[in-house]
Amino acid sequence: MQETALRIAAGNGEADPSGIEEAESTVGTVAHVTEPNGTGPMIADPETGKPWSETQVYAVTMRGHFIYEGPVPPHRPAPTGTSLTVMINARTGALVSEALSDNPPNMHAISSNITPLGG
Amino acid sequence: MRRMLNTSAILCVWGAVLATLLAPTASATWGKKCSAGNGHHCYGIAEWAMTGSGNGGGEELKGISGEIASDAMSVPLWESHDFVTNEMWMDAPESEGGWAEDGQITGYDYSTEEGHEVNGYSLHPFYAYEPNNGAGAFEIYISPGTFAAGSWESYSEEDIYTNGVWCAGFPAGTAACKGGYPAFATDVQVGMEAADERQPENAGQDHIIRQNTTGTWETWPHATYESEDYNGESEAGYVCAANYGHLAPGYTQWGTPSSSHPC
Repeated sequence: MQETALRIAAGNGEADPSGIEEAESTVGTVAHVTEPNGTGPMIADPETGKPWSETQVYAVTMRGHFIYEGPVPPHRPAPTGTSLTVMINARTGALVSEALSDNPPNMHAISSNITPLGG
Repeated sequence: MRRMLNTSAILCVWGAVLATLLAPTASATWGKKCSAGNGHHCYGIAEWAMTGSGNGGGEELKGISGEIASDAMSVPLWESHDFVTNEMWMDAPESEGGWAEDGQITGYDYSTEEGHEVNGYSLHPFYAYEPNNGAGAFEIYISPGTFAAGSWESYSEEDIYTNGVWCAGFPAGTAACKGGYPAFATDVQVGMEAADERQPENAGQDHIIRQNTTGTWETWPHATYESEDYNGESEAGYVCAANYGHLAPGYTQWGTPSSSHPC
């Protein structure tokens, strides 16, 4: 999990993030905490047939200086932030989402069981 | 004989030099300036840049919708976060900074079976939101679902209730919504994006229409077709975009040179 998170952090311009914490929860719970202005996914998870919001994930949050490296519109700057939270599918290990801002998420609102990771 | 040997030796040396120069490296640029880094993504798009305010004045729109088909997508360094997309973007006025996008992505750490065409595991729906005025978090979601190459799939970006809540539509329905945007968008694009250290393959078509501020759906009135890098410099010959089948603006075909859809 840590290796995946660090690889994604490096892909977003931060090779040495700090304050790495991990918690297990659902897509919907993590989505609401990381971005209250958004609904999070509202459709079914095609792999399970159940709501995507109920899919179990590991949420890993990190601190650093991140520059988003992903799809962006032409002529617009890449998003930046000091907090990166990634969701990783607990069953498959696949990347589910990335959230980037200057405000770290309240991990206690995601889970009561938070695990500090190295970094 | 000696002259022939000398000529052969010279050719061998030059061959070795050329092979060294042309060998792929871990960090490379294809096209003129296309690569994976920020500032070096490349695009083949149709764009309609409007003159309105985003809040009820001038040329602006409520949404865009249509069907897209990805015929060929291959990302050599998919495990290094490299990617290609077939997607649509809906932007707030540049001074407000917000935008939304959705479509299909290949790579981005999802296997594309290096060197092969898009396969049953590689073509994923995705959406992303950059908040308006920096209020909130940027977020991107990649669906675990996949589509077959060449299948026409429906996507949209729309402010359904004209209240600044922009919703991303997937083939399965409304995928997500996010608030804090102006009621109307003032710039839309559709087509491909590539962020790759090695030249990828990407080709497809998009049939996209617009929703007017009154809620009616129509074809775009006009569009510009652009083959460029992130800084707006031409990448003609490496990515391309053009009107599709002499149909309405917003009906777009695009591709990379190695793909089956040169335009």
